[in-house]
Amino acid sequence: MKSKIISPLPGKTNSHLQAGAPPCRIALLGCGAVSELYHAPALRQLEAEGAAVVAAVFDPDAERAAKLCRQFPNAVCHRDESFLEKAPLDLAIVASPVSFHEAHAIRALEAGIAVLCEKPLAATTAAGDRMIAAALKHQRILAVGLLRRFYSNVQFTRQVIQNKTWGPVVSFSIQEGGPFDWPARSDSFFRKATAGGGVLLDLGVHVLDLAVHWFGEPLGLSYADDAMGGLEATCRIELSYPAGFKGTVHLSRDWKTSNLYVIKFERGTLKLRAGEAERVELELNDSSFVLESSLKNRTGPDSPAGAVSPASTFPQAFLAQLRDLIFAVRKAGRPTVPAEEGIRSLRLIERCYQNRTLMEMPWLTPEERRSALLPAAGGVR
Amino acid sequence: MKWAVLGASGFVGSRFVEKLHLTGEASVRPIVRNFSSLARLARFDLDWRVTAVSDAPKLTGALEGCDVLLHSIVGDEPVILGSIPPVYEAAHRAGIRRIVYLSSSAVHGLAPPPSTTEETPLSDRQPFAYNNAKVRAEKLWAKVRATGNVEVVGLRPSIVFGPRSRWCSDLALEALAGTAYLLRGGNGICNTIYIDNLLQAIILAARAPEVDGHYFLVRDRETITWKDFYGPILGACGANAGDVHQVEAPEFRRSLKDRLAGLRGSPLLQMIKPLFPTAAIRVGKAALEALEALPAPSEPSPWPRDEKPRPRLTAEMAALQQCDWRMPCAKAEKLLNYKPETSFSEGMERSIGWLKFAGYPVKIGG
Repeated sequence: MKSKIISPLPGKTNSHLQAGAPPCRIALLGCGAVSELYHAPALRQLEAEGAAVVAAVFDPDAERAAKLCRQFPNAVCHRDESFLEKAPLDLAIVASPVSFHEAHAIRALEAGIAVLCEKPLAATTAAGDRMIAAALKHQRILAVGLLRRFYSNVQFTRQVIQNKTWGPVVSFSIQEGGPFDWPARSDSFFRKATAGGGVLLDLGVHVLDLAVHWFGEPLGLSYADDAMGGLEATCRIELSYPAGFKGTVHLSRDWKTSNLYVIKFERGTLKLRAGEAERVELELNDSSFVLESSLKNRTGPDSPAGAVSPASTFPQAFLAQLRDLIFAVRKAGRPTVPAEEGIRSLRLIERCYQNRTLMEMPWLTPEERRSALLPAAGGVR
Repeated sequence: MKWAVLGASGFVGSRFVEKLHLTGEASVRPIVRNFSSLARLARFDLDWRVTAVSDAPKLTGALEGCDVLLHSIVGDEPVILGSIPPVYEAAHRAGIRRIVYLSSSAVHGLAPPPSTTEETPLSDRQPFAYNNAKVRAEKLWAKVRATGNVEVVGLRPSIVFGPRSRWCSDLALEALAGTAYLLRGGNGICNTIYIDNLLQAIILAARAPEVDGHYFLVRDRETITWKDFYGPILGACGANAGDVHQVEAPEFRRSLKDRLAGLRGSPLLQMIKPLFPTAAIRVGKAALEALEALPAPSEPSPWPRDEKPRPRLTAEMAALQQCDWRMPCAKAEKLLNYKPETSFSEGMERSIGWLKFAGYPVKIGG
């Protein structure tokens, strides 16, 4: 089969956004760590480019909202969500705790505002389905913040899988995670009622999104984690696919993993390191060398050798995600990761939780293990 | 009995919480310093508290209703010493009966002379900053003990291994990378204690009568050499003791950075610090930090190309592997009725099981 060059994601730069068009009016809902560390600097950049203007910032914690608000000269600080019905807005970024995603997103959609919802879309697929239904009903965009889809090495991996560049996939193994170091501002991450899940939902939503994006829906799965009445810190998933290959996923927020994605093809092995957006490592079966490289964008399918531009780094990917949304809002088009796409990993996560077993923890004494298996301790979810 | 655990997200603290919670032997309240530290503990539905030890009212509130406190806070000297007075005061206010403090056999040095016991005088002029910090911490506990009613009992383990122990994980990584090494054929004494044996000693230390102010050396019941300790983990990683680098102990010279670290924590400096204006301290601190940030000595010549992975010897490891003294635990046996329940081999088997759980490419029974 002849390989074809699959165009990378739009990778919209500011020039793709209509010159002279009024800036996209954005509301930021939730002023936690993700807003402070990522959305705020990205939005400042887009404001400087004239592509966006942050018009509203919302958080029930007035101090946090004010702190973020100060970064945006045109933003008005809000402590309740009623501003969504009153302020003229084009896009709402929902970065509140996951238990509020549904309420905040639907309220914005009902007010006629497009929504970029931080991952996970919702704590349950039922909630996600209601959000999608609201988007359809009100004919507004609902996208999910699955940022990694904008990484160049993620797009490259999809291309080589689809093109069977080194033959079909033989197997894959993914390890990702390490001691939890996100600057959490409350224990909502660690309470079942507010978080909805542990490392599988938090980190797994990214990882399983890539698994679905690359390999499609698995046929079978087995899942085990270490939750004993609370939320899992480590989990292991074994997946099997209609094409006959298998894969494993090991996630942890307890102990450092290899943070490595290894995909074996018939004629080679591709490795990606978690957290790197543009680097790849390639081993071809018929070569004794290993290629470690960073990806660049070809300027066009027929471009001469050397006509390349830097591929997305993490900040670039974050900006690309927002530009993609602004572009879709202006053109009433489809964003790269609409909710219908983003909910696929959530469905897989629910399948995992439905099939949950307790991980083998060989250091527990028999008495401890018996206790861990009791339903009251979370032995059965 | 209700336990409060300070340092509950660490290696010892988290296993202690896990064990007490699962066995129901006692109720337990983990206390951590920030929300991010809850990830491991949140596997259980627990009544945790999040507070800095410097927040006296919050810490007192976190300790209220508990009978005993395990102090297993880890860190550098300022962290270790800085935690002691506020913790003691909060424990006193909260009505804690006894504090079990996790000290270290390092107070006696990493290769203590034969005949060392708990009664051997301690020195805080050792070559390693950590050892001195632990010696000073014991002195500080004695000092604060005089200010309140809360009893303090200390334990001095040495090589604590088990699930989530750096001894196991680092060795596995070194074995996999081909950089593991043994000094003197690995025949030095490795004073191991499997984590569950340490937890057993902690519980006994909380219960035993008339041990206020005492410190106890604790270890496994077997005599273990470094070769014995390395063997099972090397095997699980597909190597064996013959594959590791056999090295001689080089002469370690303390770097400027190490010396500065020692100077910074020295009692003399801490004592005279209040005599200086804040601005002068700030300038001095900045100068020390700038010195510490000095680049490492230049790289070796690029011409000889080293194809083989080489071990990276540390002064601490070199000292530990030259230990000839099996720490006694007669005092713990007598006053705490300490009889380690888990054998070394069982502890090692569980530790390797944890390595596999954590994603290390090890083979059980390898």
